[in-house]
Amino acid sequence: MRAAIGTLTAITLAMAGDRKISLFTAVDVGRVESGSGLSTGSDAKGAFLSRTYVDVGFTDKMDEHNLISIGIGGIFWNAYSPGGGDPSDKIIKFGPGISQALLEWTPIDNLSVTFGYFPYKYNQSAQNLGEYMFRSEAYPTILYTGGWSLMNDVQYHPVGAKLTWKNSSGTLQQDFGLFIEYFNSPIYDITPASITTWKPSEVFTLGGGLALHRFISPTPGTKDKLTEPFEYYKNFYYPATPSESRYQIPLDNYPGTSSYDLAYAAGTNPNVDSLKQAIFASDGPLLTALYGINSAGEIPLTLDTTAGSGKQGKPARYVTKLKKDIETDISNDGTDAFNAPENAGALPQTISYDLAAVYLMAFFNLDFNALLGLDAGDIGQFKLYGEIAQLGLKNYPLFYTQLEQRRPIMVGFSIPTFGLVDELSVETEYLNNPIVESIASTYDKLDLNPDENFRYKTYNQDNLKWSVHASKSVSKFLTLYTQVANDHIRLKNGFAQPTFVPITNSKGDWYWLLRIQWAI
Amino acid sequence: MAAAAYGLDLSAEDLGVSAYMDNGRFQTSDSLLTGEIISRTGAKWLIEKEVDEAWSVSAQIHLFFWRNQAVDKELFHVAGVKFDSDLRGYLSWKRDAQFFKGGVYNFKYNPDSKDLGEYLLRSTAYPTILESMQGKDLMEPSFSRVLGAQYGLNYEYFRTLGLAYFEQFNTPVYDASLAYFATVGPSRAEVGLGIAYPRFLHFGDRKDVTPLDPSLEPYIDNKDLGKNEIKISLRGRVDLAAYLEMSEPFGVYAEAALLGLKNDTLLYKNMNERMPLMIGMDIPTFGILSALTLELEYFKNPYLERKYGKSDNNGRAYSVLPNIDDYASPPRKTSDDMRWSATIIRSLNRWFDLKVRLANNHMRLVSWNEDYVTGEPYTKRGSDWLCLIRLEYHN
Repeated sequence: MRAAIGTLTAITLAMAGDRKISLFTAVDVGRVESGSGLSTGSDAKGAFLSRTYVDVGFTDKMDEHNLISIGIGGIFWNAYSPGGGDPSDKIIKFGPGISQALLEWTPIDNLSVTFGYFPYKYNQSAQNLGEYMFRSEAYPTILYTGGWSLMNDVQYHPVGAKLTWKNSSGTLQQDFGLFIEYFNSPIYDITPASITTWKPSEVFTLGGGLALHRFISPTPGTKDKLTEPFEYYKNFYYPATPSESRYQIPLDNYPGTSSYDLAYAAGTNPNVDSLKQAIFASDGPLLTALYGINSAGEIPLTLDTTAGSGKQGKPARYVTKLKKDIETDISNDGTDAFNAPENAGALPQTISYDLAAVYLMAFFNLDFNALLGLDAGDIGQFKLYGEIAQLGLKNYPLFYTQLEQRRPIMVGFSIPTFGLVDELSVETEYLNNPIVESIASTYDKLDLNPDENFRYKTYNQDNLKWSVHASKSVSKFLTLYTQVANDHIRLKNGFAQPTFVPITNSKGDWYWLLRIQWAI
Repeated sequence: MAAAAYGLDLSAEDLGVSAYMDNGRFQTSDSLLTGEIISRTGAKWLIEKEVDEAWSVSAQIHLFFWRNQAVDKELFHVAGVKFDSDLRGYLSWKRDAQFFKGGVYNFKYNPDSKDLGEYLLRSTAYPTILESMQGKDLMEPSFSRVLGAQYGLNYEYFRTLGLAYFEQFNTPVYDASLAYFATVGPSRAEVGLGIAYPRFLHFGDRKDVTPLDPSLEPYIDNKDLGKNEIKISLRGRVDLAAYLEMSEPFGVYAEAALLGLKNDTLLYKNMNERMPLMIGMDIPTFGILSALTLELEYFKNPYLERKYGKSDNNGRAYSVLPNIDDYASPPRKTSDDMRWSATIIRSLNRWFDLKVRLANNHMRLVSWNEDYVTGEPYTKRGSDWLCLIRLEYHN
């Protein structure tokens, strides 16, 4: 609701003095062609994507120094309910919202202060990916795209204040912000930020910023919970656990031993070949005579997980894990690992995370239209742009151990189509994050360890993201958009809670969207 | 944008807009409630237009982000930001001394009260409960939301008003109520009397009396409490600023009410336990502030003003009995008898206002499902208080 309607490109139709009213409507339809709920195992293929946005904006320049702009509207939306959902999930929902509610004070020509609820975008070229400084978390490492608006919303929607200064030539812009998080959990944390944009000519733009992400927290109870300490063990010894499944020889009237414990083959590490060789060594003549089996490899063996508890055996190993997870494993495995001689003298260490993190960011834009003197209106936008960010300078000894795993990189290219469309942009993103990008750590509990469903798994299927975005103005008021992407889309359930893991989380996942938008 | 509908010409010049950011916090002796955050960001569009010499119309749209009582800080659907909206619209007419107003609007009979007071409509007698800051705009001067109509006469030394409305806020909603007000004296020093007959008509499903203990049902029936909820109020004001020709607010006002004329022999034995008293004062600050108002309330209600939940709470949702734990030995609470509220307003410039409220009042927050957790005011002891700060800007 908030923001979808914050991406207005509305043209002002009505003017009465310095008062202007704008109208904006957009209809999004689309479909997930490949995707899944990684937490639930559900198949998201075929999920219908739909939003209808309506907004009425009003801007009043009250005098030469003060401007107020307030937009109100709402969104019709459908809940994502892969399991069928509740009856209330099957209807079109409506949510009222504010697109912006700001007061802008301009005491002098090159200085302005914006206050209230307003959209903020520093990387003007980004069409879907990027804008990492305010659309991310460091611990766990999360990136966001979309939100209430499924497309055309590559910006931040804070409550707060922003001071903008420009030099007299307009080549240098400095923004200082005090931004209150309002939509991503936990809400109300305050981020002081500084963003500098240098645009020496129309050809080239270079920017950079520093954010003290969530450094000020007005909710001490939430902060205390988020930063509570956890105990963990490094190189903790897990004894081997036997399998409780068995191998069976499915031969009719087989007179030999037809059922084998997995341990028979190779200790607790099941090895089918070793087992077959052992069987052939002992019963080879019988097998050859009765069943024509002339080698170990011909012996049919099936794994019967219904024999015993069905547990697979595990070899002895050393792990680095949270104590609470070790206790869970021990409970499941039935071992007495804490009293194993290998763990004698092992002491837990303590770790405490914090959502607060120092962010660094840089972006650039190289405009070939300006460089080569090509009219964007004739051939379309032609530019190369990109962004890189460091989400958190601090490494923790567990999970968040390397800077490069929190360093997203985006490169985009706007390709001229010579009138076919107005803008066609291809963006790609790389983040070498081995942890599944689940927001459960703050949306389902206040525990900054990675989502327990994926906590110790290395997952690189989602390291590379991409997005294709295009727009075409049909008339002064009517514009068509499309977006095809494998990005960080998280769909909302009936409680407006997003899926913890992006729907597109594997290499082959993607969705498409079409938007028809009219604005006056 | 010029629009002509039903003969009414509207343009952007007729549009008033405002936005606000509310941030606040409760400081209470209850460890579960202290630190609870109040947060709202809202935007309003308002049109007030005179149709002709007699008729005028008004419509307001109010959209806001808000936070409910965060009973579980770990779950996003509980602790996250919510969206809500509010609409107001009314038609008014005025000719000579007569005036009429009808629609969905905020009714206010005590022109001075900021937070406390307005007892006649913002209360129930059985169970005995007062309201404050319960609307969708937490800083709007105390009012009652009505769907109804009023007709009155305004003379220099006598003013009278009759109101018929349907309940909009407290369950069961849509019950019909009547109220009448008469005020004598010049507006700068007036005394007003009000009488209300609430909920004299019921619409829709209603469980009149479903107490916890079935044995109490005959008792309630015999006492007929639900049908005798007549309320009376008396108020007065002296506008000292008008007498002293001062430009800033300076005056004293007071209000008292009797909530329910009928006593019983068990739970509502004393009338003075249903008799809230309030005194308020607009204090001049000689330009330091735009307005400073202090209000003080005394209400000797022995119960904790616990409202029933909107959900069917074991069948006691609409009982006339107080919502207490033990009917055999009703409590005699006194810790919440005295309440206070301070409202401070400072206009930073023509378009930007700072408003602050410090109070120990009757504010209740609902949980994520829009129902009350306990139904009690957050502040219920002498040392409990809340702070709410609003930054508001408007054209």
